[in-house]
Amino acid sequence: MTQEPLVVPLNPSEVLAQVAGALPEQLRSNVIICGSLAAAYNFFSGDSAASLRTKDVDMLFSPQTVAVNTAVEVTEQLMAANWKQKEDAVYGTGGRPEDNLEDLPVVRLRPPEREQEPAQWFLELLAAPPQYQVDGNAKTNQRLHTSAGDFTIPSFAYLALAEWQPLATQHGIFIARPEMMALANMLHHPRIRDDVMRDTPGWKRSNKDLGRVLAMAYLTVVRDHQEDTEEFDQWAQRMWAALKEKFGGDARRLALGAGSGIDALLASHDNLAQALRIANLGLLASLDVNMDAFAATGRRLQAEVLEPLGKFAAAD
Amino acid sequence: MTAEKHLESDLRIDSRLKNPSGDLLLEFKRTSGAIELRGVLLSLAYRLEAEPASSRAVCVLTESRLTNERLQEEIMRFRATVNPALDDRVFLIAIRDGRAQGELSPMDASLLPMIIDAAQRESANPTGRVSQQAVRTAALSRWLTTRGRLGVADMQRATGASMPTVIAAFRAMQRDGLVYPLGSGWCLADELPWDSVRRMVDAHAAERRVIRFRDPTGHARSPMAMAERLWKLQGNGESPSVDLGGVLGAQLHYPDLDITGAPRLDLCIYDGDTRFVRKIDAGLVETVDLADKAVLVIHITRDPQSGLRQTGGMHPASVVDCLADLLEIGLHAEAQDFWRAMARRRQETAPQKETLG
Repeated sequence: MTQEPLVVPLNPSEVLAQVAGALPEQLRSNVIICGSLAAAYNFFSGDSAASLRTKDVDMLFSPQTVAVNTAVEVTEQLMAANWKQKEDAVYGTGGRPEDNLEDLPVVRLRPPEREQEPAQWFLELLAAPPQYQVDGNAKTNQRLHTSAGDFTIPSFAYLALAEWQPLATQHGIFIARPEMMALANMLHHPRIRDDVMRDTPGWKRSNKDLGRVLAMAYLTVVRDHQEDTEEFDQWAQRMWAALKEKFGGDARRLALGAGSGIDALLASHDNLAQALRIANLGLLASLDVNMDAFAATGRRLQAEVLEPLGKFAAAD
Repeated sequence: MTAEKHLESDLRIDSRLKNPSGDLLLEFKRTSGAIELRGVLLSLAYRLEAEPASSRAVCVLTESRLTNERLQEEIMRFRATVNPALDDRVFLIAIRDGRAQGELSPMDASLLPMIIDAAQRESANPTGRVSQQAVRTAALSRWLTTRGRLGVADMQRATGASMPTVIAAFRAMQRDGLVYPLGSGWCLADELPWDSVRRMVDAHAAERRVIRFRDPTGHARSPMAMAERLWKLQGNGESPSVDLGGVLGAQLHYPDLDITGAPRLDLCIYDGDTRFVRKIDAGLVETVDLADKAVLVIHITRDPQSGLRQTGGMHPASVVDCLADLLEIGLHAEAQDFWRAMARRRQETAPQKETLG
C-alpha cells in the first residue's frame, strides 16, 4: 500500500521570496502565484513559524497575450540560474521541435540545491487561458521554444479567475485571491470524481481540491475573527463580479452550479474525512482542524457564500 | 415550492397541504396516550366527511412515546373499525429526531420533508394553553410601564389565558407582592423587592424552552456581529419575530448598563422557528451539554410585550426576558442594577392608569 506522501514543511514567505528573486524584475508583474503557496502566503506571510507542505508551486503568466513569451524568458533565466527540470523518466528533458505538442513536457523547475540539500519542491509554469468560450476546451496547451528544448505550457479555463484582482506582494509578484482559487476549484469539481492522485494512499483529487476550498474558507473566517474584518462576507460578491468579467454570458450557469461539489463533499462522511486529512497535511498543517470544525466551515460556505452567489446569479 | 406556500392555517390547530392529487389535512398532537390518539383519528375521519373524496388526513405525533409497533397497531385497529372507504384516507405518523415513523399515502410521500419541518416547528412552539406563569410574566412587564389598577379582563385579553387561569395567576401575583386587592379588583404594587422580582423572573425562565448553540470552530462571530447579521435579515423582512435578549437586549433598554461585552448572543423567539440561525451562522451546532460554551442561546417563549414591539433598529426582548438571561449567564449584580434602573424609569415615566377589569 502506498504511504502518505512525505513532504518537507516550507516557509511560504521564504519560498515566495526565492521564486520572486529568481525572476527578472521587469517580468514579476506578469506573474501570479496560484495554489497552495499563494494560499499559504496569503494567510501565513506574517508568521515566521508557519509552514506549508507542498511539492509544487504554480506560477501563472498573465495576461494571456504575453504569457508564452514571458514564460520562455523566465524559463531561460531560471535555467541559467541553475534551476533544473524536475527529474522524470519521460518528461525530464525538453522535447524536439518536431514533437507533438501533447507529447512535450510541462516546465517543472526545481530550484538549485541549498547547502547541498536538494529542494523538495518545484515550480510549474501555467499560462493565463484565452478568452472564454462556452464550448471551448477546459484545458489548452501552447508550445514553448527554449534553449533546453521544447516544452508545453498548459492553460485551464477556470484559472482565468486567478487573474481577477490578484493581490500584490512585497516581492513584486502577485498571488491569486483565495476566494478565486476556491471558486476555480469548485467549478473544476462539480462532483466527487474517482480519479486518485499519484503516490498517495488512494486520495481523490476532488477531495484534495474541494478540501482546500474549505481550508481557505476556514482560514478566512479565522482571520476575520482575529482581525475584526469581514472578508468572508465579500466572497460571494467578488466571485459573482469575477464570473461576469471572465465568463460573460455563462456566468449565471457557472454561479448556480458552483456549489454542487461542496454539497457532495459535505454529504459524504468518508470523502469529507479524506479531504480534512489532506488539508491537515497541507494548508491547515499548523492548525490540526477537527471534523466538526471542518464540517461547520462547509455549512458556512454554503450559507454565506454559495447561496448568496446563487441569488446574485438568479437575480441577473 | 415551499411549506409556507402550502400551509393555509395555523399549524398549532390544523394545517392543510396542497397536493395535486388532493389536499392533505394535518393534525399535530403531543401525546403518548392511545385513548387521546384514537379520538384524534376519529376526529380526522369526521373532518374528511366534509372534504372532497380526494382529500386525505394524517395525525402527526410529536414528542410521543408510542412505539412504531404501537402506531401500526392503532392505525390498523382504527381502520378495522371505521368505514373501509377511509382506509386509504387517514394516516398516522410520528416524528422523532427529525425522522418519520409510520406511513403516508404514496401520493403524499413528496410532502414528508414539509411535514417533518412543520412538526419540528410545532414541537418547538411553546404556545398552546396559556399558563398562569405567562400571565404573571405579562403582569410583571406591565408593572414596568404602568401603575394603578390591573384588570382581570385586561390581562385575559392581553395573554389569551382563560378566566380561571388569570384569576389563579392574580392570587399568585398577590403572594409575589406584584398586586394587591383593591375593592373588587386588583392594583399593581408601588414597590417590588428584588427578591420577589428574582423569584418571578426565575419562574418565567423555567417556562422558556432553551436551545443552545456552540461553535465547533472556535471562531464564531462576536455576539454583536451576529446581532448585526440578524438586524440585516430583519431589514430584508426576514425573521421579524426575533428579539435581542441578554446583555445586548438589556443595553438597548438601559445603555448605561455596566457590562463591557456580551459573552454570548441571547435571542427570544415566539414562533418556534429557528431556521434563521443558519443565516446568522450556519456553522453553529445545537448542544444540550451545559458544559459546552454557548455562543448563541435561543429562548422560545411567549412575548409578554404583546404589541409593544418598536419598528426599525434592533428590537430588545422584554425586560423580564433580558433579566432572565442576565441571571442565567451569572451576571447577578448587573441584573439587579438593570432592574433598579427599570424601576426608577417607571417611577419617572409610568402613568397612573385605571384599567377596568
